[in-house]
This record gives sequence, C-alpha cells and structure tokens, in this order.
Amino acid sequence: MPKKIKYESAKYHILISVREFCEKQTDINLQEQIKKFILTFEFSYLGKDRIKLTWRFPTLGSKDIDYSSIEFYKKDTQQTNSTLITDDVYQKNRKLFNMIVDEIIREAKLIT
Amino acid sequence: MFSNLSKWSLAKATIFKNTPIYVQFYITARCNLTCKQCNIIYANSDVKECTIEDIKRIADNFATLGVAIVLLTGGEPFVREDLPEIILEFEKRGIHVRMQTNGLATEEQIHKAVEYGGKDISISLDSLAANLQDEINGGFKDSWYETLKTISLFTKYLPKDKSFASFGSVLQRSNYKDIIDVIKFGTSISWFTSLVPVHISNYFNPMGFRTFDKTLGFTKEHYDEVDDIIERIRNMRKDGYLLYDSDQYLDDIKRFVKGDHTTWRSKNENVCDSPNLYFAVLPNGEFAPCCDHRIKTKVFTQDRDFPKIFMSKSFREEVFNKTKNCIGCMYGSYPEITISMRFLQATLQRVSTFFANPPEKKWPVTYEDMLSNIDKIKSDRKQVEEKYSGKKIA
Repeated sequence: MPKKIKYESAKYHILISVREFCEKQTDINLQEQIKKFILTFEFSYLGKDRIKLTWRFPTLGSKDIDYSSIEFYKKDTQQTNSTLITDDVYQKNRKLFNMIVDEIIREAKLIT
Repeated sequence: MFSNLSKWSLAKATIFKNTPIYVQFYITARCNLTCKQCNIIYANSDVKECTIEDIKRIADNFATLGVAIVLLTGGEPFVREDLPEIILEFEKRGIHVRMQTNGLATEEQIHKAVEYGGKDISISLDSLAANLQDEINGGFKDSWYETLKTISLFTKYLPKDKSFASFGSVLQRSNYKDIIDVIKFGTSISWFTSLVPVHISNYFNPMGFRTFDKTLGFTKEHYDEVDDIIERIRNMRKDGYLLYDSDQYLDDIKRFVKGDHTTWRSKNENVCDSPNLYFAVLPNGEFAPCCDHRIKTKVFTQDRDFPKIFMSKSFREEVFNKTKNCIGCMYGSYPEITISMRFLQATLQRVSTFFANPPEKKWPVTYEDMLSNIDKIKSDRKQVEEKYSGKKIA
C-alpha cells in the first residue's frame, strides 16, 4: 500500500516544528520533558488533510489536526529577477506549522 | 567525460580541500514512488520548486565556485518537464551532470535528457526480485519491470564512450541477501553498483533523508551475515565485478549498520566536509549542508551574491555549527568524496577503478536480454545455495 504523501509530509513537518520549539526553550528540564513527550507520539490518518496525534506523556492525550491550509509540492511559476530571494510558500507553511505546534503544546499542558 | 573546469576543480579540491566539487540538487520533492527507506520527498515538500530562470543563476554561481559535479535528484527528477533544459544549463557551463532516477521515465524523456548532455545516470535498484522491489518502492506493482525497461533504454541512448551508469542500492533488512545478485547483474551490463545502508531516525530527531521505520534496520542477529556479504562484495571487486565503493567505505558500512562510529570523518575531527567539498540544494534553490540538515538563515543559491555569501565567515560558522553536531551518515557520495580527498589509499583505488580499467560496454542491452541475465544469476545462486545447504530450494 503506497504511503500517503501529504500525510507523511505533514507528520514530518509537525515533528520539525515541535523539535524547533523544544530547542527554543531555555529551561533544560522543560526540554527533557518535551523530548519525552515527542518520543511517545503516534500518528494516525483521519482522512483527507487530517491527522490524529496521540501522546502518552505527560498524560495521555490527543489532538486532531487539519493541515488543509498547508501548501505542499508547489511550483514557482514567477520569473523572479530580483536579487532578494524569498520563498513565500515556505514562510507561510512554517507559520502554520508553528501554530499547529502551539496548539499541541497547549493541549498537552506542557507549559502552563 | 569531465570538462576542463571540472578537472581543474577536482585537482584543486584534492590539494586544498576547499572547493565545493559536488552538489546534490533536489530539483523537486515530487515523486511517483513512495520508497520505504526514503523520507526526502516529505522533508522537501514544504518549499516551492524554483524556475529554470533560477536554475540559470544557480548554474552561473556554481561555475564561479568551481562546482565540478551536480547530482540532479529529487523526488524523481524526471517528473520535471524541464529536466533536459536544467541539464543543459549546467553542462554548457562545464559542470558535469549526474542524473538520479527511480527508473520510471519514458523513452522520450530519456532520449532528450541524454541529447541535452546527461551522460551519467544512477538508477535505484535494490533487488532482482520483482515483488520485493515493488514492495520497497512503496507497493507499486510492476515498478521493477518498468525500471528494467528504463535501464535498457539508457543502454540504447547513452554513448558507449564518455558515459557512466550505475545502480544505487539501499542495503536494508529485506534485501541485503540480494545485493550480490544486483552487483552481478550490473556487471553483466557494464553498470557499477553503489551501496548505501538504510538510515533510520526517531521522532525527536527528524532528519531529511532518514525514515522512521525501524523495521527496515538491522539487529544483532543480522550483523555477522551483513559482514560476510560485505566481505564477499569486496572480493567480487577483485574479481572484476563493478563496485563503485571504496574499501574504507565498505568497512564503514559494517560499522554504521551496527551503530558503531564510522572512520571517514576521522581526519577532520569527526566533522564532514560540507560545505568545503560538497553541499545540497533544496527544490527552492536554498542552500543546505546536506540532505539531512538545513540551516536557520535562508541562503539562496540563485542569489547573485551567493558566491560571496558562501565564502563569508558568518555563513561558514553557521554551517559548521550544524555539521559539528551531526551524528554522521553513510550517504555514498559525501563519505566517498571525503575518503577520496583525505585518504591516499582510497584515492589510488578510485583512480585505478575508473581510469586504468574502464569497463567495455556491450550496449545496447535489450529488455529481454536483461530478463534472461537475471534468470541466469538467480538460477546460479539457487544452485550454490543448494550445494552448501544440501537442501532443495523452491
């Protein structure tokens, strides 16, 4: 059974954003807590553009995630001539993933 | 096969170890397979693909920096309709192009890619068992047969002189016993084989290329058998079989599979040579130290100032902060370039492999002849296994 490409992409980028969130914390104990939290993650596919993330630490919990706003596998059709190069797709996606991670962290009550 | 620019860059890199001779350019994250061991198509899905105009600037910058070889990879590079134009942009600036494919390309695409200057191809082939390869590819029925047709087409269109063809095989739990057969098949059609052991990570350490699927990896009960197969492979090269990998790289595969420290970074305080000798580029043109890591500052290789940024102290420091903390990899080209540039014995081995005894290419090879070669290789293996086990194998 082929993997679901967008689902696997969303999974990976949620993990990247949670890891980045962890690295931003200055409290080493909190970093350790987040590490334990991440290592208990289980993902399941809920249908088009939806993931269920379950965790077992610090307590059992879960969150349904809608990633329909994320833009995956986009082509650039603009002929850019500027020397200032940016990737608007990446920037928009990063913001959305960070928002998803904020919600996960709140739901897990890792930070009060 | 190499331009004067490429030869000059390779010579400079050997002496000074400060020319980025090799770049892995992930020109797309899109792919028509979902191979079990690959994560890069998901990791690079969050950025947009750059245009051919961007690629022209990237090629200009690479020529300025002295890049000798660019690997056009993905995803599946052949899903980009402008792949021939991309090849041409690099080749006309004297940068050697290696194409990497999963083998699902049409005859028209292959013909055009070669016509536009692509003379170096690497195709993923992990097994001679059709069902197993289809399963590794993510459950795509008959993808193995399609790959064979593609291999045959490359032997039709690639010139016999000044071309290079190889298989990339990922050594994993399901196929390690098949690798010897892949090398035998490759040799029968004048193709080299290069091995990469499967790379696995966990949810706390997501890394671009590494799968999270632990079932693909090896456990203690496999170690002796893997060691034995690596030794047999090493001996096969002495007997003339076409294996791309150096002895030191093979020894490091044995270590890596067991989770032991590898040796290839040992002459550089256990740090790889990115970006001094190699680096990666994401589909949007962004610089990355390699396929596993990104840096925080967005540096685009199509930026007209990229060569200046590349040499700057702050950029180098940021990359070093990433590479110095890396646990290390065995992704074929990165270790092999470091080994070739820093270990004399490996340099001599590489020179003798490619320049002293270039294989005679009996091309083209038809699809039917390939199937018949494969049947013979499998039948020989069965006979050998029956001889040593004393049992009849179905």
